[in-house]
Amino acid sequence: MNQKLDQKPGEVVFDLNARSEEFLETFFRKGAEFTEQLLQEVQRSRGEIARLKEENIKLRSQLASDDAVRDLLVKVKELEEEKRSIRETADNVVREYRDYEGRYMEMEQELDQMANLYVASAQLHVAMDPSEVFSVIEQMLMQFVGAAKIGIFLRRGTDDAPSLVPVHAFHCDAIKGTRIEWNQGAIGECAATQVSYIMEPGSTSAQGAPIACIPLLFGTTTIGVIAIYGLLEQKKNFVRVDYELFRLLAEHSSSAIIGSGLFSRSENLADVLGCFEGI
Amino acid sequence: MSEYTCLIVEDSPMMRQLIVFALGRIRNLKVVEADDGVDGLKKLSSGKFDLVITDINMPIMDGLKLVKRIRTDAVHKEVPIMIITTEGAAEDRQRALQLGANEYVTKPIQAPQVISKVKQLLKIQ
Repeated sequence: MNQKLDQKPGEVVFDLNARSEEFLETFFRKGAEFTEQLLQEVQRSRGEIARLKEENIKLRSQLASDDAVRDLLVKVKELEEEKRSIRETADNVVREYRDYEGRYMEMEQELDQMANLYVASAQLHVAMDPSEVFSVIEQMLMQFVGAAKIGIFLRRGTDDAPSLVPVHAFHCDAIKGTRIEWNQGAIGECAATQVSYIMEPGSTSAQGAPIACIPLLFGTTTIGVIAIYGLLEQKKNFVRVDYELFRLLAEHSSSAIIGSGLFSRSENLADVLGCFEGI
Repeated sequence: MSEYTCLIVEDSPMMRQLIVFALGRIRNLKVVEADDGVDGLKKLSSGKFDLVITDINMPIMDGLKLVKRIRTDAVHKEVPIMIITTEGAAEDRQRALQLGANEYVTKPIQAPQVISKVKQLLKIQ
């Protein structure tokens, strides 16, 4: 160790010690400060880590929640599609049901119509004499159509000058004893043209004029006319089934009248059957 | 096996046949026919009926007298009665209902209407 000669012994040692202490003091102080800073930094880092952990948890749950929402949206879309499909099917079913219902109603109406026509036809052809046939026609028109005033006219006179006379009157006594010329008025025209005359619903007929005329056709010949002068209070207009009944009356009444007329003139059934000998 | 029995009182065979046709569409319904009110009463006394359908204008005994008789009969006074008639005036309807008829239908009849009213009276679904 080098030592200056003019220095007192121990004086140098004192300085060195002081400096050493000073150094150590500084060293430890700085160390403490550094440690302090380090601890603070560690503390801060812990806080930061805790915050980040918390944020991470939040983000994870957010992500899970987003996934759930996404899944739900997909599910909703699927359900919407299913709902649309079910609704479409239901609409089709309702449409088909309505279609069937309509067809069922039509069939019901057809059935009623056929029942009416069957009953009318059967009753017409079981009558044994013309007056019975006239009563059946009257009943048919009253019960099935709702006619309140009815007249039945038959052809009289020669082929050159035919006319019509009433043979049955129901609630229309005014026609009794009258004679209608061929092709005169609604009844005469109906007989001559062989075309039914049916007034438009709601239109009013002239005083005493019929509201409907149906020709009685035997082959190509008109043998008479059925005239309707009025309807029951509750019957406002003719309906589809009435027209069918008029057609049946036009075609079947005449043969029933002629058949029953011939039968009533014969002595007995054997007499009638005798007419068919040789056929 | 018939669950219900209905008596039809109507002088017109044609109308009877038509009503029978219509009622034929109701299951388990047996129909008995009578020509007029007196015949109707005779048939009524011979059995149990769940419904009576009657016309008004009939010979011997009309439908209104029949309704009156049924409503005073100890056995059948509760039986439902439906009138089917050509009489469409409001006072005719009112009179029939006052005498005890349950339903009043005017001719010409519509089969679905008659079926529906019969089902109502018999309490059939």
